[in-house]
Amino acid sequence: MSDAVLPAPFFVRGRMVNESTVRHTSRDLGASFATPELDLDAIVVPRSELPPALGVKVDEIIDLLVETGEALSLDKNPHMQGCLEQLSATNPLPRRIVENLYRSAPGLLNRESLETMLSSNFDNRQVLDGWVTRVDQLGNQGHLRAFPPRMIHMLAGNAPAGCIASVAQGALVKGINLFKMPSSDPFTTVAVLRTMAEVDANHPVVRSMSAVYWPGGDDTVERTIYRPQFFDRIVAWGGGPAIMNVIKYLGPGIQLVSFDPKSSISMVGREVFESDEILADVADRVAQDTTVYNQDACLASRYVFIEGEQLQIERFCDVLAGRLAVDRDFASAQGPPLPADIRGEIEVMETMGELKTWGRSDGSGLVVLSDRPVDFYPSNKTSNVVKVTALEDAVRFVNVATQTIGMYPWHRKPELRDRVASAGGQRLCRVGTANKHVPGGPHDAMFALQRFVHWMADDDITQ
Amino acid sequence: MSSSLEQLLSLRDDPGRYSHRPDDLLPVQIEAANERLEMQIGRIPLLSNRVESAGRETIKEPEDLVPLLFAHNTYKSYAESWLLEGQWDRMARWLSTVSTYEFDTAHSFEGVAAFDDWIERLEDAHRFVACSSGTTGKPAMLGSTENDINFGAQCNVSAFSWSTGIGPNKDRKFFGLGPPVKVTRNERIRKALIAAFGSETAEPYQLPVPPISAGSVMGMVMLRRRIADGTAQPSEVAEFERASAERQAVVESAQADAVETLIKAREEPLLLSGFLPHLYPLTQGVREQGYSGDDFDSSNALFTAGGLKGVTLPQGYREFILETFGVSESRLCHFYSMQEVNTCFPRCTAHRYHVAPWVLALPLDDPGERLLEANEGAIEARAAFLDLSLEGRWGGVISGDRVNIDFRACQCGNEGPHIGLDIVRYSDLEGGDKITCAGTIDAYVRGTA
Repeated sequence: MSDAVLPAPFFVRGRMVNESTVRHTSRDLGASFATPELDLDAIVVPRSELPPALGVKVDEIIDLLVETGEALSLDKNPHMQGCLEQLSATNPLPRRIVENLYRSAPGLLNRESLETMLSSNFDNRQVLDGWVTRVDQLGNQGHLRAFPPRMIHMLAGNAPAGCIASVAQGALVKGINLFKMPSSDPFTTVAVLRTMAEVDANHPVVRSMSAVYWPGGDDTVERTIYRPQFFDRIVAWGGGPAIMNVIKYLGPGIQLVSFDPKSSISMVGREVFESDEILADVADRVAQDTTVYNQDACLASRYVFIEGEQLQIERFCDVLAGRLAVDRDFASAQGPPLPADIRGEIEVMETMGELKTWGRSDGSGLVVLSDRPVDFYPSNKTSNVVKVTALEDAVRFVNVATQTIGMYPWHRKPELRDRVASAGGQRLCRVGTANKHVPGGPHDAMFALQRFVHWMADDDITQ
Repeated sequence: MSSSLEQLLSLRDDPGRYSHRPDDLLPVQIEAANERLEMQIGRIPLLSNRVESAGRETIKEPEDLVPLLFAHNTYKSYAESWLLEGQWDRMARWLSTVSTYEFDTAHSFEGVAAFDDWIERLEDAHRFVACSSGTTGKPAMLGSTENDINFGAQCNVSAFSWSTGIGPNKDRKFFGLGPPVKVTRNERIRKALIAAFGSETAEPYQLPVPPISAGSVMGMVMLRRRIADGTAQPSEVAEFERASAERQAVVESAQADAVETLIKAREEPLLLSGFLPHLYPLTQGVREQGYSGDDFDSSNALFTAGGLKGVTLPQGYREFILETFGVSESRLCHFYSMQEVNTCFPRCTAHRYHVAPWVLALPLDDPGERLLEANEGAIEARAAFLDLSLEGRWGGVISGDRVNIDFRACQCGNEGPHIGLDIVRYSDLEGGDKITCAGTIDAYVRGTA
């Protein structure tokens, strides 16, 4: 498969660009793909031009997105079907999981969730459609508009459907959007935008969208276009050297909206041992949270802080190991094995008697029980179970990199949520639901759309 | 008749040691590997584990060694929290799991106040722990014996002579030009070089900077950990930054001293020693004072190793350094070495690093799981070695380096596996284009690199 050169066209301001002139190699799997030459002038819209979607009502944009969502249905969309084939060459996720992600894609563009996203970000959504006037105590008027931003979205490589949420966000704020695709998926965003163009080729939102590829960190591109003259915001999904590289281009007028790299954890109270049924259910829920995208996701749990007696906890570990090893919608029974160096570390600690393990390190699921969190980063379906006297003690392991904290029993969340927030954590949920969200909620402790827009004021001060 | 292991180790100072064909050597190496394994299997619990899971106690061919190799991270597998909390007995238990060190609970480390004390107490028991000096990641800790240290130091002397043709004639002024590290292994190498090549009348020079101890390196690493955990106080961070700036100032004034001393000694034959990034500013200093190759003795030699350690130097930096100090290519000794391996690999005239006969080179696939066939020509591989000279720990280690290795005769006329100059760390390859939403608090720590 790696011998074939996969065509990876661009989508530039509403039009497909199909040439395959520049060859690239995907980072994770070393597959070759070929893109058109990157035309920097074409992807930057001069500030003298008003954003194409400025005059479009947000309701119409929602209609377009909903219709696009329906058209993304995998069974009837040849572009997404084609992507699914190509993606297996560049993306480490198994095809079945990518297929499930694609099947869940239309749901990201359902009307209710888009409406909620707007209402939770904007007190009065009229600010998106025009100038909204406020009057102060003295009768002075302040006119306000959430003006469309010019944005670069640096998409993460680990979640192939993530670009759909970014497309929705970029469309809702009517922005001029440039999507920088990752080498592990230089296909999906173009397929999504192409689908949108087929819904309405000349729609101003479609004309506001570009999706291209360049190797992350390529100075010749980034030094040129990461300028406030061209863009207002760089939206980065995730971490890694490519993001660290962006930071050097930040300055007055160009802001980074960063969804930082995160880890997630589970907290399980002693109530789990009240019955075998509860234990089985909670272990399965922890496994579900742990294995999302075979644990290559910010919301995937990596540590379980648990109350209980040693033997009880060992029983929990045993059941958990069994549940890590099952096929799920977004996880494989057999994922990629743990890297050799981490296997080595575990082996040393086990030889010393510092930790106990259940399951296997071959990618089918491993549980590591220790008296404090391990130094290595649990990955490839590995759960580090850590015994704590009380869940309160686990709060010290929560920090600004802790995104989702799944908890059992649910009723103990309110006891801990303020302390967890103070420690830097961002979201509590019932264990087993890390990958589900109440629509319109914040991500990484922020409402993103509010931060994307250019808040423009026009003041009439009369007294 | 001596054993295969003794035969191989006796080649250390043999001028013809790189003239053995790999095929001829292999049966002796396999026998020696079995000797070493037999000596160590009962002493290194991790090794006996490996042998047990591999299901065989005898090595018949190089493939059999692969499951017995330790990943280089093995030597970082202690828990940082043990260091933070001063759990020295536990650290000692760890050391005895990954090396031949025997921790006797009767000799508890009670009363040890700091990391350096722990190292000293171990040295009292003739166990030397070398720490890698990286300050951003967790340092490796490598246990070795007195014999290992001496063998390694002498190896440096012999490899220097092999590579430069300079015999141990005690006729040079020695210049140690890098900031010194207070690690016994490094000190012994320095002493061995001075004893062999240093003139008895010319005082050896050492860049005048107080040596950094393993404990202070560890202190930086621990502070970084505590910053990540959010338990470090702002005043501690400020103190650290102040100390770093102060040290930088000390280094700069020491460099000025080194430049002056080098210029004074320009007519004597010199042996310069240091990493190239350390030598570069000194070279600039010498040039600024108006001196260059014509002013220095034309028989000068340079002893260096490794790459640029993340420092960017202008193109032609190497030639600039050599020319300035009158060092010809033939008197440059450049090693490929790593802390995990006791033996250094000197570079030949064809610009390849040569692996000594008592070290088995085991080229592996990228994940480090499978031995690659390398008899047909040069291949890219993950470097792994079994260094049979080591008695303090198991010499079998999988490195983090990707190398170009060739088992055919080298263009320089020597035999045995040889490695190309372009050595890449796998960890550097992992960077680049990768963007993922999953990550740890380590990405949030700034300023203590």
